[in-house]
Amino acid sequence: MSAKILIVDDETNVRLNYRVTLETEGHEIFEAVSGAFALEELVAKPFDLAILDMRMPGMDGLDLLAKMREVGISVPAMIVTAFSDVPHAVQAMKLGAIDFLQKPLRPEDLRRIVSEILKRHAPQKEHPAESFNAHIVAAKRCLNLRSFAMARIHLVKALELNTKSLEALNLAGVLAELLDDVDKAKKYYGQAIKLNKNYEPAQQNMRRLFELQNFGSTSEPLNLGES
Amino acid sequence: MKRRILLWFCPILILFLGVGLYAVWLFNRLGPSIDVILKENYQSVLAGQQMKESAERMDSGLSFALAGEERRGRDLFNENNPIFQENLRKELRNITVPGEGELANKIREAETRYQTLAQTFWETSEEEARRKMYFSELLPLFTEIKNNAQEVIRINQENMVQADHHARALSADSTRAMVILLVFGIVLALSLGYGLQRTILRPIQTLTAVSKELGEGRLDQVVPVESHDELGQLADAFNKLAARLRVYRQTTTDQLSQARHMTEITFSAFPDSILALSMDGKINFANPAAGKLLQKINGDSGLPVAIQEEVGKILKGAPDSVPTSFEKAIAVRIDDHEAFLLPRIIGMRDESGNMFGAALVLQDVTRFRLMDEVKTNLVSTVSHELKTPLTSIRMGLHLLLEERIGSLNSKQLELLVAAREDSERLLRMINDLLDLARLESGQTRQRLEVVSPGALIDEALPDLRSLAEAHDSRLVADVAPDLPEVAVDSRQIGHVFSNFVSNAARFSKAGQEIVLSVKPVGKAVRFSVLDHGPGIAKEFQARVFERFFRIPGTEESNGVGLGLAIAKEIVVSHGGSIGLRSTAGEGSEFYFDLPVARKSSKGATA
Repeated sequence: MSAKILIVDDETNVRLNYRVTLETEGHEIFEAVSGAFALEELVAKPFDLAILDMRMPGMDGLDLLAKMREVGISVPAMIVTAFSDVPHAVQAMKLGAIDFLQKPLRPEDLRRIVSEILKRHAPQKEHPAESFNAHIVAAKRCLNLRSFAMARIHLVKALELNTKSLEALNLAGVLAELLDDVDKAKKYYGQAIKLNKNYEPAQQNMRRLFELQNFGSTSEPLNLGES
Repeated sequence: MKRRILLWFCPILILFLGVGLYAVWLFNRLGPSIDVILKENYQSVLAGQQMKESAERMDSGLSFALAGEERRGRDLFNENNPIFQENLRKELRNITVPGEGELANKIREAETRYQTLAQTFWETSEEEARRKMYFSELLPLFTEIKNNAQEVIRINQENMVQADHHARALSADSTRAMVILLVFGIVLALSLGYGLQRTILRPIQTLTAVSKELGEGRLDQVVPVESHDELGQLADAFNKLAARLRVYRQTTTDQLSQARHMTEITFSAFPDSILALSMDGKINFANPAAGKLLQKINGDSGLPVAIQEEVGKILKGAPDSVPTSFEKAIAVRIDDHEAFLLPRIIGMRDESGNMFGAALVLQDVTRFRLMDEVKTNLVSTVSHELKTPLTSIRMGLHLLLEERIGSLNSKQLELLVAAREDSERLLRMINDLLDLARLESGQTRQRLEVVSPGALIDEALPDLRSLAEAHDSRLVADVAPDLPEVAVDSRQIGHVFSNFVSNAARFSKAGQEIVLSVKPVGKAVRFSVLDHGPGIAKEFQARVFERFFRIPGTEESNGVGLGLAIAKEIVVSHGGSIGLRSTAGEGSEFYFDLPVARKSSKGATA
């Protein structure tokens, strides 16, 4: 499955790395050195995915994302962050970017997440799948497309199919957060933690909420859990 | 001194000895002589009277015969004759008084003649011859006998009276002598007492008075040394003591004034403001820096309200406030600039623990805060700048090693693997540095939860086990039962565990046991990791928690030398302490103690 992917990063060498990584998968790679150039490209061509570096001089990843949505570009986006950039995750998710990669990253990480997003947005079959996994994937797709109501429906269905799914509970928590319902988010995370104390995504999200409430900022990324 | 006391008592002793001997002699003399004299004289008087009486009866017997009563007269005579004879014999044996012997002999002679004549009288039956015989010879003889007997009685009685007089005189004499001796004795005893008082009591009294003065602080007292005996030595020792005390007081006074002087100089030279506050929060003392500072802040010498409040808390019994973090600094305006003062407040307590005020040190930390901000920014900027190219290098190496874009020969592969290893190490180093910088600057948020040590271990154990197994070591957990709870950020503490365990595993031989144990130690809980590795030489033990320290001679491996420094920062930020016990050749035990959580501290703090 060949896709058109735009890499937005001010570092030439980083772009080269990403390009080599993804070209080996057979994707068609485009590069932009800044947010401004990226917007031009995005307006000019259709893309399957945009990989945005969070920290860039001038317009940063988040600004670019906001701008894209503003001008009506709904291309799925994933965000690469350095450790210290994480706090903006919720804001990014509200803009439909729910996939994050933290630097330093390995080629396989990048390939895995890119392939996951592309699969998520692959053309739908005639009859929608009714399996648990299908609902999770659909929920994420809806999150990408910022149709949060639909995302909720898929999650509810997923939870009906598997009430003890840590991933679904965690995602439901994330969704609640995106809708600014912190108490509900805590409830979902809490349920996941209750089921498994060592489930890191929920733990991390709980920690993040805690830090946000107590300190007004956080160093914890938003964690969607692995699919 | 002993000799002197003995000497003083000698006269009294001699006096008593003399009086005693005299009394014994007196009693010896007086007692028997009077007794014997009285007894002898009494016997002589008795004999004299008996003789007198019986002689009269015998004479009466002769008279009866003359009067015609021959029978009665003869009976009376014969009856009394032996009595007379016997008493005469008694008298003759009991001659005591001068002249008594002559008298007795006269009586005996007269009696012999009287007996012969009486014999003749009784043999003569002729009345006329009898009468003639009686009146001319027998009666005068009788009278002579009677008078002599009377004389014996008289001289003996006189002797008795005389002896009595003599005894009285003797007794009077001895009484007088005794009285004199007694008076003399009393006088002697009094004078001795006076002497003793003068030689013993007075020096002691002087000493007492002087000690009292000494006790009241007048050290310039000297006791006169009057003798070389014990008292003299005591006085001498006392004088030396007083002299020492004088020297000591002089030096302490000097030291005190010097210390005060130095304190004053130090306080004045101190750039930080130092204040002493009374219980009502009033300023008792302020060094020049404090005076100037307060003047600048308020235009008067009062404390800023925020600091006043802090002081109030301490004075009401809150624990001393000695913050080290600049976050506790109080912002004030000095010369239209914002300045930060870090107040350190220590309650001043007397020996019995009662608070009488507070010491306040105001440190101007404006510059430090600025530097702190610069440092934080610098660290994150530098690390980001370092990390970006590094991540790029690392990713490139990964891509090459995948061989998806082309195959590599063995030399290329070897070099690239080495480069990847180093890039991984560099990355870890940067991450460690960042962690440490964050921990040190207090930026790291702790999410403290009150948990039981057992649960903490249970949670960490699977990861730690696999960490140990990766080095072919066995991890054994030994958790004491009923441990009190601790307040921890379990992620941070987990980091300390994995640091300890990975160190232990790294230095253990394959198959060796690593023991993770938890036990109570006083008011803390001790977590320790014990290995049977090579141990750490004593000279390096204190340094292993220093950053970038690596024990000389150890293999250059994954370690950067920051792991234990980070562990220490984490433990210290939990209010705990970290340490190790190690014997070279036997193994090491790294441990950290966490304070037992107070039940009220449930929840979280920064």
